[in-house]
Amino acid sequence: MMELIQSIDQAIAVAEQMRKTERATRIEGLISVLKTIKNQALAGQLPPSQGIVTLGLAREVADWIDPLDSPLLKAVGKVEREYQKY
Amino acid sequence: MIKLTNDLSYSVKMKASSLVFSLVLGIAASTLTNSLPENFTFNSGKILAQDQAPSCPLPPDIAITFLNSQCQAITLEKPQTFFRYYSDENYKKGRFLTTDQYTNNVDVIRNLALDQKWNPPNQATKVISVTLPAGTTVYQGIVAPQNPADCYPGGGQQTFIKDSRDANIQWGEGRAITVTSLSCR
Repeated sequence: MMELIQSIDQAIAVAEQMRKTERATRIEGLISVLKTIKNQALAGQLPPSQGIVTLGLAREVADWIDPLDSPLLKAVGKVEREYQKY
Repeated sequence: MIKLTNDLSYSVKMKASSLVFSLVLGIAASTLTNSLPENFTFNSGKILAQDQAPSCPLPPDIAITFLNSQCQAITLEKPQTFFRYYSDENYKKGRFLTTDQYTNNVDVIRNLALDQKWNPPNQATKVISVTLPAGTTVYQGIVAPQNPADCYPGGGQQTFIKDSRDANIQWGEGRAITVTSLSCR
């Protein structure tokens, strides 16, 4: 669980550095969702992935991020992988 | 001599018994296997999708959007038309497409796992045809479920392209589909 929280914090930090880009609206939305997921996890209200379910973070970011090897996509990908352990 | 004959006879009987036993076991195993669903696998423990050998030639951060991180790369030999569902004109174009054709937006939201928590949510009220040129590499698989999985079970066909800004991609005109409200907790 701690690894999941840490990965969310890292993804928020990466996203916050991109707030002033042309994708500001999507970045703000992503930060909001990341914070919601973090709060759910801390409150024990995040349903387990069971190794299958995703959080939709990578799908959201991979749809529009440029370039595809962006640190933001790597950061949310890390969150997804940590979630699938949970 | 008698003892040797008895030993030989015993040995032959044992081998015959062993052969019959193996045959019965083999038939039983074959019958059991044939009666199981095609996608059934024996698991000795919990196996996470990410622990399995990667079978999708995409970075893991993208592969994870497919069910079990599994996808297949295909290079189109001729132009092919896909579909993309959207509701906000600003998000009409993107990298995720599908071969699935739906008439109702709720089916799209559930099968393509379009989580309504995003702002603006993709309510899939419209569909656009997307024709990719020959030579395009597409990555195809099944949509992974998203949390909460009873709302967004996925299971639809998912096609991913690396470059949605390719000038040779033909984006059609948006067409409205039937809209009903999603009932989900």
